[in-house]
Amino acid sequence: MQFNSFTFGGFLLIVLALNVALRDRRAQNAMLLVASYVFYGWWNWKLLTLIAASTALDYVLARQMVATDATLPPTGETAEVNARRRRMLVRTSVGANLALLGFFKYFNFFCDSAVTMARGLGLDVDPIVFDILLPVGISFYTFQTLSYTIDVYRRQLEPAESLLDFALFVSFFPQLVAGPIERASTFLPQVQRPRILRAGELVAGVHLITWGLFKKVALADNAAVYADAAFNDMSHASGLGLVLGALAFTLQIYCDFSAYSDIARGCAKLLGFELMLNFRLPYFAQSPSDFWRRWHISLSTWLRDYLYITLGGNRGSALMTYRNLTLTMLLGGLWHGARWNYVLWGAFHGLILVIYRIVPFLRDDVRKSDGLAGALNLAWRIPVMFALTVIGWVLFRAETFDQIRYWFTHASLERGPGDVRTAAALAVMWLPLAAVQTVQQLRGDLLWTTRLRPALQVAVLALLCATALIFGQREASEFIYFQF
Amino acid sequence: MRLVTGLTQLPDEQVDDAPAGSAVRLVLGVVVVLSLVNAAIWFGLDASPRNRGYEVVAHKWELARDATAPVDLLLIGDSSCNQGIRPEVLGEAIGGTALNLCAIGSATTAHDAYLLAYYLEHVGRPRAIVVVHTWDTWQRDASKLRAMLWKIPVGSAAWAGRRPELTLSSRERFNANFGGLLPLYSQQISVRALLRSPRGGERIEFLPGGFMPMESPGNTAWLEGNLSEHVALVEHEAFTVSEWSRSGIDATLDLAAAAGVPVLLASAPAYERLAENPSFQAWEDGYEAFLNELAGRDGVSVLLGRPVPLPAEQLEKVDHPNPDGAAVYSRALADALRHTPLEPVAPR
Repeated sequence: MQFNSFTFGGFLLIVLALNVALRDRRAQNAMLLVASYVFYGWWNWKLLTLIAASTALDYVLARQMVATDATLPPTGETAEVNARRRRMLVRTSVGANLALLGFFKYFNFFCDSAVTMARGLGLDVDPIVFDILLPVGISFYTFQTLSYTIDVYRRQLEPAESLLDFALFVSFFPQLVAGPIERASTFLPQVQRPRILRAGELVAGVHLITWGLFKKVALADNAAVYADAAFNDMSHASGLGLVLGALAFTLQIYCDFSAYSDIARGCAKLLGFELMLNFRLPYFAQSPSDFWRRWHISLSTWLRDYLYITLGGNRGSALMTYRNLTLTMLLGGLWHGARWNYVLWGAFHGLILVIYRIVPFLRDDVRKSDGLAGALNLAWRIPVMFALTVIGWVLFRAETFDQIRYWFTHASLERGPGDVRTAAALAVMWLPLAAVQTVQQLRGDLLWTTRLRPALQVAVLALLCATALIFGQREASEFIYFQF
Repeated sequence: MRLVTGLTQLPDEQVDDAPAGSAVRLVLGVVVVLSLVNAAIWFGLDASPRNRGYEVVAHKWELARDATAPVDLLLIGDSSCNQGIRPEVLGEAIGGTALNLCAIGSATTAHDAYLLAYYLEHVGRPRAIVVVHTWDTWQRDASKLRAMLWKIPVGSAAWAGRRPELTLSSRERFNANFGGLLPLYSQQISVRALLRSPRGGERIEFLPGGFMPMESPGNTAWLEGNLSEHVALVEHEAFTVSEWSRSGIDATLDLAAAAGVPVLLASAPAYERLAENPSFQAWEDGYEAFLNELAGRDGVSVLLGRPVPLPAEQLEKVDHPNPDGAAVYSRALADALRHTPLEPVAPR
């Protein structure tokens, strides 16, 4: 059930009506859980067993941690036994979740890679390949449940008392298949207390959903046509065509993924929930660390809190910090999927993060200067970071190393037939986005349109809808991040 | 500097309080504005239509709906027949009446079956049915037909029960039922054309028997470009019949057999330069063999197995005659018809 489909529109209307009709919080939660399972089961109902099993396991393990605290107070001799038991429980949770993710997402990838490596060493190895169906959104909900058990283990969070509440946290339909990756510490309290539908939040929800649909249907899906044309058959693209293809994908992936987050957050607001902000205009970033404060924030903060800091963060030597950064980014790349180019993309971002820390004039604190020096500083920082981001997307979008090599050896400003038309089409898509986002960035306000006069808000939203209807791609194409 | 501060800050979301009901008012306001835009587009496209295919399909269904008694000869098929056959010429050849219900290739052979089913059910049995399709319609699938269902006035519920069965997605069901009322949603390409040139479209003039006269575009470059496309097709591909087209013609022949009406199959006319092309001739060998295979059934025969070659001045496209070409093609069919007995077959 795609967000940009009639089926989802009807489904959402029913859920919103039921949410208003059911005034009791528990009844609302039960209804939302059923709705979430229907939403997820729409793809493949058999995979519901997986999400239900993951939910049950983490619920029980977290409860056991609390039970351990209750039976073995963390003092004196029993403290060590208590800590050991809690460690065992959290390791079981982490192990089970990673095993689930590893099997469904990475098994064939690692087998293939091992066979390729063995054959490279002259060993005759038969490949083992299972026909494994990748469960939609598995990377998102396993990371969500992992954060829960780790937080409980770290005693930063009280475990959920109600299985129903916890199951809703894991499977809440707006963000189930492509995030944002919510934290139990912010989401569970919303599940556990009565929710009030505030008019301002509802207005913001309507704006977010409309803007998200516009970005997906009118921008991302149209940009995809040009990105696919360039990347699916690079040999027929000119040097400039390859550059334009990369710019098209840069637009596509941002509009696609941020659209999903906007719609998810908008739907959540209509139901009285607040999901975390996942994007803060990433193409205005001035450095790699600034980019990761703005791009897929729920993943980057997850990686920071549960991987980077666990590895030691920046508490050790500079060299250790660079190692931690690189490892975190490598695994962040691998999180996106079982392909080496995602790892390469992660490595690339790790590398530029390190370089920006090492080279003095690139460091983040330099940009703090104000006045003319600050303006001149920004005049190159933002475009350079944007160019680096585009290069990263080439690594991300390409399907093979040969394609990556081809792009980097053939991309140029040499024009080919059709390039002017492609450039014009991309400009038509980029310009309105850039205009709106420049206002958002300068005001520091992502929801400035909600502060327009009501009549103007109606005009803006109607214009977005009409544009999406007239110029959008019609087939309900899947959001890119579903595959991760 | 405010610019530097603005560009370096991390933007955030600030949600203001709003008066109760403002979200509902906002949504309703958007719905009202979109309804007004939709109405403007509806009137705009009605005054200045942009999609010839939609108009043809709609007109042929209107003709079927308005018919009060069955004709002797019913013509079904694609645009080569819609623009290529003057029904009165064929009617005269058999000493009776004829009606051209041929539509467009994108509607596929399945559309023939749907239209024929409607005609047999609501109007009656013709003496004979002529089916005409050009050489490249047989490869097509149902995708274009799905987009024009709203022009066919039978309602989406009718599709599931008809042969060939067309299973509709929720989006297509919605489109089939409401597409006509919601051009903003259902006629994306026409709306874009309307926005580009608000006065650029014109209404098609059909003649009473359903024939659509279409003049040549006035320069030969268009025809030569069209020729290149068809040459490229026949040089790179062989004649094939898609599963969908196969089920369409099967359903048509079964309907005719059930009603005891003989069916005559005919090949479309072709630009003479294409007809001379060896790859095209090989393609046509495949097409003729297919028509002969269909003619193996009771009550089915081939009226014209090969295309009638036409010169450039008698064509609008390589397979679309202009009125002069239509006269020539219609006469060729009429001659063949005079030598074909139209014996009723025993209904199955």
